Amino acid sequence: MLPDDRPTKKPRKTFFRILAFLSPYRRQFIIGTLLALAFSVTNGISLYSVVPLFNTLTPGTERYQIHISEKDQRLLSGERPAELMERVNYHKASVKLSLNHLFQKTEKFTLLLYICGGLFVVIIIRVLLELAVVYFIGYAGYGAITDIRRAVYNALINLPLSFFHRRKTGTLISNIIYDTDLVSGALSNQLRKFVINVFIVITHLSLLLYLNTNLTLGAIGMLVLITIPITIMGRSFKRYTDIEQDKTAEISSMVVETVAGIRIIKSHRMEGFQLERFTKTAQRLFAKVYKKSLVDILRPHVIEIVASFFVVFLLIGVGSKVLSGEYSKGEFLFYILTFLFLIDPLKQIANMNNQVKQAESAGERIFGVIDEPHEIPPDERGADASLLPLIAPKEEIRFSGVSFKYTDETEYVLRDISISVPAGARIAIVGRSGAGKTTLVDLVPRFYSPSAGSISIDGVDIATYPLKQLRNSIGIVTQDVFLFNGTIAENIAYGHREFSRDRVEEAARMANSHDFISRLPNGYETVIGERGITLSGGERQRVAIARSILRNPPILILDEATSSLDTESERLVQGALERLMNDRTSFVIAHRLSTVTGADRIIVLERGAIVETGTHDELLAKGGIYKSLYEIQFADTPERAAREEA
Amino acid sequence: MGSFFKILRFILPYKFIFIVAVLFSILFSLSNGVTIYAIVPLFDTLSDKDRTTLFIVPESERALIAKDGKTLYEHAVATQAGAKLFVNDRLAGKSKLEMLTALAFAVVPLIFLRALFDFIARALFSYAGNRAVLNIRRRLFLHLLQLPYAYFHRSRSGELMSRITKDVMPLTTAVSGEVYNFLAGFLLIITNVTILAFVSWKLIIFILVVGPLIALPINFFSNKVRRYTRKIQEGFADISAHLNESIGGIKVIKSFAMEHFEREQFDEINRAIFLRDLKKRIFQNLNPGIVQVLGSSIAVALFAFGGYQIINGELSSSEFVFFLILVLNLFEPTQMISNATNEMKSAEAASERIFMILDFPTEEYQKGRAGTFERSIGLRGLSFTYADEQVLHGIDLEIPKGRTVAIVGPSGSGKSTIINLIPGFYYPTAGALEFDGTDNRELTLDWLREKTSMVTQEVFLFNGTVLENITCGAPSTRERVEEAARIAHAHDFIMRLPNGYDTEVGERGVLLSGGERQRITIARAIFDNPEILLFDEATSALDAESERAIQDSLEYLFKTRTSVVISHRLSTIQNADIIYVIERGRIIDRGSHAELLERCPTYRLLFTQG
Repeated sequence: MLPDDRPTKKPRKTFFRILAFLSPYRRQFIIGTLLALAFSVTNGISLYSVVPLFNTLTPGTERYQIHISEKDQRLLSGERPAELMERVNYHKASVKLSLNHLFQKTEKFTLLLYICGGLFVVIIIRVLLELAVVYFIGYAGYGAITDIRRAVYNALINLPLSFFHRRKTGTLISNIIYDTDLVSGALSNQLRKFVINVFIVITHLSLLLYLNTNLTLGAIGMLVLITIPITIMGRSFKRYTDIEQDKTAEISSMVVETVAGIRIIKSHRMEGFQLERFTKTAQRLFAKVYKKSLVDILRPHVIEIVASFFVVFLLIGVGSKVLSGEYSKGEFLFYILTFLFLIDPLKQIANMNNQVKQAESAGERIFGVIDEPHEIPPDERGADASLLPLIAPKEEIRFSGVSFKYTDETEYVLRDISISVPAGARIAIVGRSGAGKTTLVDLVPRFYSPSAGSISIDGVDIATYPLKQLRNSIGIVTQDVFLFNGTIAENIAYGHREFSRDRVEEAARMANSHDFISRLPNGYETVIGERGITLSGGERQRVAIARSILRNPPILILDEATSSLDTESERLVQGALERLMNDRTSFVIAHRLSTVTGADRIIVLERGAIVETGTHDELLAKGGIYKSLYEIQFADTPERAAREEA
Repeated sequence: MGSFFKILRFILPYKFIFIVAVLFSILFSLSNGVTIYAIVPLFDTLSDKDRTTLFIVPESERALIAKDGKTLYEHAVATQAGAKLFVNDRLAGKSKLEMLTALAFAVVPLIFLRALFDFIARALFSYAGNRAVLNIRRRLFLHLLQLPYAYFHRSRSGELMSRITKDVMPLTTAVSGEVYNFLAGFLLIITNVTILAFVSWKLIIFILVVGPLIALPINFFSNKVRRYTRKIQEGFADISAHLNESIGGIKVIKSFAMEHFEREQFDEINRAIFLRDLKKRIFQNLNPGIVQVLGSSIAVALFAFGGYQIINGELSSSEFVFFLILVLNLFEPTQMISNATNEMKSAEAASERIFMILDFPTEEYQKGRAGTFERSIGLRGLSFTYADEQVLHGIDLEIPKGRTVAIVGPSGSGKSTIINLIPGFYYPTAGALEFDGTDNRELTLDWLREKTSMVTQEVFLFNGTVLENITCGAPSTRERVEEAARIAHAHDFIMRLPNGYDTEVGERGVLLSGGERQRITIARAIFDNPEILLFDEATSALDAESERAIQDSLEYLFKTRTSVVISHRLSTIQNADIIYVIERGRIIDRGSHAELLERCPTYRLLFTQG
């Protein structure tokens, strides 16, 4: 979904990378694992209790005695054997013998009550242990998933602007939320179930081995057999998950699109059309989810059927041993029960495979974002940018032979740009839309790096400065004003708590915004929404300018800062901007040429190259592109007449 | 559970599939019981040394087979006795080991059938459930489209997205799988208890007395689970909104070098989710834990009670074993019900949030009647208040048919609000907006929106081809589309695109310049050919040259219909028939460009300081 141009990582590797996020929580994880081991042991004990329970259950009042086979009796009457297995058997037999001595003294029903009481205690412990496992492994799992979300966000926010160039907001958000959610399922719940189930399988198998080696080896063979259908199903499952993911992202971006364009949708009566598009996508999503659920449903059944074949052989095998008197019926029951209780954990482990596959698909996409190269080198990342001194040009900012093209495109956006901007000067960049004006100024804060040539401040290449220091030294005011959810004061101070209210107000005054802010219901504490809907364009722009004034950057970029404003707010904003530009080296892009006439120098861009430079008057006198642009805008319009009248 | 049941309504269209699925789950639980029942003789054969037959059929049951006029119960007993005798006959003279083998193999097809029934039932449930979820999604989106414009002022788009994608997910699990588990759990319990009744009347009474205790704690913590689920969902909505903000404002974040700050904010929300997740998980596991303890204590008590009976010779040990296996088989369904209840609680929290949207009244498109537009649109003493702030004060304004009316004024003066009132995005708080003298509250929205079309500063291109973006899905010929594009001066650049009219344009239209995108939207308006055009600052994002290029097309657009134009570009409004000057929500003057330039100081101020 995200990058189609990047080679996909090996799934296994992705899975281990996900697991690596557990390592800060290894303490909780290890404790949880040990508790899970204890849990499965109590589980085994409660199962084993059926042997004495059932053997006790015979009519009559005679005392209960454990059945000791002839072989064991022979063993006990002889010397302590030297061979290991024989010694284990010897001890087993002697434990039985001493228990028999004990049971001889106890009435049968009393013994039954003792066993029942003991069983009850074991079960309580078992439940408590399980809850403890939930806590510890849950802690580790949710901790890891929190860290993963954090890592994706951190990666995202540190990615170069070019990354966002083509991607859809909805898709990116869906990536972080939905994908981490899938991983979360695997890391929290499934991880715990996996650990517990693995231990249950181990204890059950050991119990079975203890009873009969040959039959148990057969059981292990069956386990291997079961993995085959699981693996086959896993493949189709992953494919469905991938498509499901895509469609979910599509749905997300459709909602974002709809909310953004609701006025147009309503006024063009496009509701039906949009719904149809949505339905199509949702239907495709349904088809995949449904197919996926079929695989999901089928899996445990396949396991059960394979297992049932084995149960048949087991019944015959163990049954014949009971018939020949080798096993007691308590042991028979225990064997069958232990085996039956083995199937459920196995089913769960198999189901986990789904979750792991899902988590892997999601993980691939997540790491796709995390693996994108950061624009900020690791050693600068944590640094507090506000501590670094601002870079104030003393002589000039120089572009030397700068060319630029986007990595995935062939055509150059900028060609061989060489200009020198004296410190404190105001430079205007004009040209038709698509000429490369914004790209040119975006190179200064290194949103993009030149494909050829370099940009320097007082002879120092800007690439040598820490990125944060450079960007802190540059104030940017653009046409799209972005205000964050929060109060006006927070928006002006933007993350810098050290700025006092006085300084915030001072900045607001300089930006011609103190008056309107004071008129708002809560003044500076007024909360403005996600899209700052309660403020007009001009007001929002002035808040943004106040934000820049407060930072006091030595270099300023104004990219169509007043274009979307009506004339009166433009006047207010322009006034604020004039104050802002004082004594700063400024780059100004404006398509309304009236706002750039006062620039120290005007650069005319055409198809990424400089075609004219000079002051307003020089360029008019020259009679080139600038003059024609100027005439398009002013000539023969009453606006000009009005200007001249005034 | 209220909201969840409301959600279940969405299954109604699939009730037939649902009923078939229920039938299969009944078959499943029956075959489950039979499978267990088949195991009893196994144990009998093994424990009783003197047995020569697989089943022991008591005389009383044999007598029933021959009896006339049997009751329903007697029929059942006779049938199972007959089946037992049949098996006994087939196996007569076989050794015990052979009997054992035959029985063991008989179990395999039973297990297979049981699996098959379960699969079919689950697959059908999944189909009906996922279909229902599809309908919920569709319904939500439709609702979203029909919500009044004012709703969008209040909601964050990230939050709305989280509703449609994320909140629907727990529903998918609940509706497609957990409803089945809940039902199957009940059916399994019923069949098991019925078979138990056949085996031992003595013990079943014991079970029936203490058994319901198991069901008691099922809902103990579900309120907590629901509360945390809701909190988690809220957390995700916050994350969504924060992400939306960060991605939308990425340039600002970067230019202020505030990555670190934003990450801290994100961490805070993220951290909160972690704790809620953990707490929810623990409460979710407390339920089955308690069920287990209670269930186990019943089993233990059963052991003691049954053991006592066996020791006293009142019960055979094989009966007891069978009984126990059945009781053990009651645990799984109880757990299934308990888990399903939990999941349904999660789903309910999500449903509540979905219904918060669905219950918000939509616009009613058909309410009222179709109006006429022969003479004029009139605003009569119209006032409008939004969020306690009066935006418009007693506006009187006349838009004669076929004329171009321009509205000018400083930003925030209420120009856009006037335009938004015309297609019924808002309704006046006082006064009226009339079409040919009819209050627009009496007219259908369908009619209003059909008459009007809006071109705004926010250029909206959706994911799709250029062609689709111009036609908005309306059926049309290529010629008509191209003609509209030509008038909007968009045809040439569209032809230069890689796939011409079939070129895809993205969510944010990144591949096209602002001017190009705007021209597509103007082509859309020309194509739509509305009687009334509402033009809201649509050219302000254009540079001078692009604006110049579309000036003619705008002139054409305005001249050929009734137009209401907001612009701060003189070139756009100078030819208007009437220009209204508005300031702080009040009309302060009206007239032609020349008149206003002469007498209205605000107007002069607006257009002389470019």
